[in-house]
Amino acid sequence: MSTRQPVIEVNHLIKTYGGARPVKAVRDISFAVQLGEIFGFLGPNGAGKTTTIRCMLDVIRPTAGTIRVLGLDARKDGLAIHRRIGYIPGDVRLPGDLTAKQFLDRCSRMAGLEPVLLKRLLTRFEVPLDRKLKSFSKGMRQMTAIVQAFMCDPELVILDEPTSGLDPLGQRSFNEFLIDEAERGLTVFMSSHILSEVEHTCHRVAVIRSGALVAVEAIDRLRERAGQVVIVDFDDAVQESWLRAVTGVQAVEHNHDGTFHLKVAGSIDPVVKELARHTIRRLAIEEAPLEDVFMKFYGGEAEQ
Amino acid sequence: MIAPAHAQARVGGQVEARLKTLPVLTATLRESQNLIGAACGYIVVIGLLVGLLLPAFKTLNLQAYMTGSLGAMIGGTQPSPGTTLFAIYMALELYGSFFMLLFGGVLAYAAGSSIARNIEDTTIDLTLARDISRVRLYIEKWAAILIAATIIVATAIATTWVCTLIFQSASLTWRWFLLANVDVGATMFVIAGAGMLVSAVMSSGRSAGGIAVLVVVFWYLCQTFGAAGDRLSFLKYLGPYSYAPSSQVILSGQWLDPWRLLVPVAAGLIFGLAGLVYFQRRDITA
Repeated sequence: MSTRQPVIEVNHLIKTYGGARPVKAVRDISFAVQLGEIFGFLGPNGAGKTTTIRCMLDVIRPTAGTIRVLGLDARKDGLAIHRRIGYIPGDVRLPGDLTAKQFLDRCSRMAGLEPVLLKRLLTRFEVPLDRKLKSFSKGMRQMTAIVQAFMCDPELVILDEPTSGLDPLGQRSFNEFLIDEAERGLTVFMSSHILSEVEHTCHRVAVIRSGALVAVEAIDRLRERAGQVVIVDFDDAVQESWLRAVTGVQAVEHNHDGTFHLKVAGSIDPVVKELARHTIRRLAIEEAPLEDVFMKFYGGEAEQ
Repeated sequence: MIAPAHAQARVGGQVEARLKTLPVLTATLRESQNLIGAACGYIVVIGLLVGLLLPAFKTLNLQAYMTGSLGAMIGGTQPSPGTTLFAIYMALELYGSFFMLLFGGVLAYAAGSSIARNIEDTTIDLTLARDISRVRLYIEKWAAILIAATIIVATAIATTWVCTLIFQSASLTWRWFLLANVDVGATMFVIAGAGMLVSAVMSSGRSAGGIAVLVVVFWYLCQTFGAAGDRLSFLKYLGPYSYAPSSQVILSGQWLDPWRLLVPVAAGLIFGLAGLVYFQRRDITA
């Protein structure tokens, strides 16, 4: 695979589940993931995230469209792909009668590869190797799943909500680990519900809703789109209607402490200049939370 | 955040390869070990009880029982004059159509739930996302079930052998006894194939196991009612037992028409391969 070729290439993927009432789980989606990228795949429950991931792994077969992973056809060259990837399923269930050590050994045997990164991973993620998996908490099971996905030094990892069940410390540690691994050339495709995680970890995101892609954008571009929030406290009386009329102001909120919260899209300069006509007691400018943008996508208000 | 521009592709094949050593087969045997262990335990207990109670059995009018309809249904035939009492009881208790019902049922559950359980609990995703093809997964599971069947049959043989060592009056003609086990093997083969087919089609372990057991129960009922009267005798040919009548070999001291064993063996292959074809094509969804 050349370094310029996308690591994952999904073209016009459609997946319809059969039966008396066919369900269109994925509706003609296309995107590409580049080498060394941490690509977030966001969407509400039932949006089609897991279906897309399972199509990539050839666990379910697309109704139409093609998927290429590491330059190979996901349908025809599944085994060759699987030798080079790591995977964490969305709902991690592990064979309870095995110890973590036995389970990891089984995973390594199924991959046909030595777990070269196992020792390093165990220093980062605490997994009690000699305990039976049935005694593990959800977080510990998740840690074990993380270790098995990365231990054979894959070129690509496909992660379906990888931090689900981890405590905040574990989530942070995992996100730092992902960034380090991406620096080493690992490509990461991860679905997630946790917006802050995506915001701090991913380079780009795709947002899927009701089986259709509503956006594929760089996080930085999304931040621009989210705009900024200006918190201003005037010394003199200012009408809310006047603030709404200022160019660039999208929304105004008047708080009980007398401050105004202005949501600004685009350049902040004309807004500040306009506000300066009044006497300002306090002024703060913050980045708007990305959550607002995602919620728009989730809610279907975004540009299609 | 911008993707690292300096990122270099990791080159595949850098990690040292290791032997796979049939991971799915060993996992399947591990998953069904309690079930198979219970069946083997039951065989040992029954075998030892028969040997232990043999002196008491001598006082029973066994001939009357065997000529009765129930005895005929279970054993399939009347014992030949040279058949020992121990052989008759082993034929009735372990090698009659009960064997198919009880131990075949256990095997059917193990086979039926083998793939479906992994689909239900989603652990199959972790397997198929590794270097294991669907064909390999299926064949390893099938092989594991056949090994389980072999373990059950071997336990019956070993128990009988131990009985002949421990109990003075426990004796039988080994030739017919071992040939009876070939019949049992053929029956277990078709049960394993049918169970794999059910497992390949379904996505719930318990339901698939239950349906596979129902298939065996249906075969048992066909055999039982088919043996009960001439008008229903056609029913016998729907199940595998009439093609591989293990107890009849022990009781009659002859192995009639061994080519008939090809019927359950061929049926087992057809069921198993049909399951493989379906599993290879299906969407794996719980």
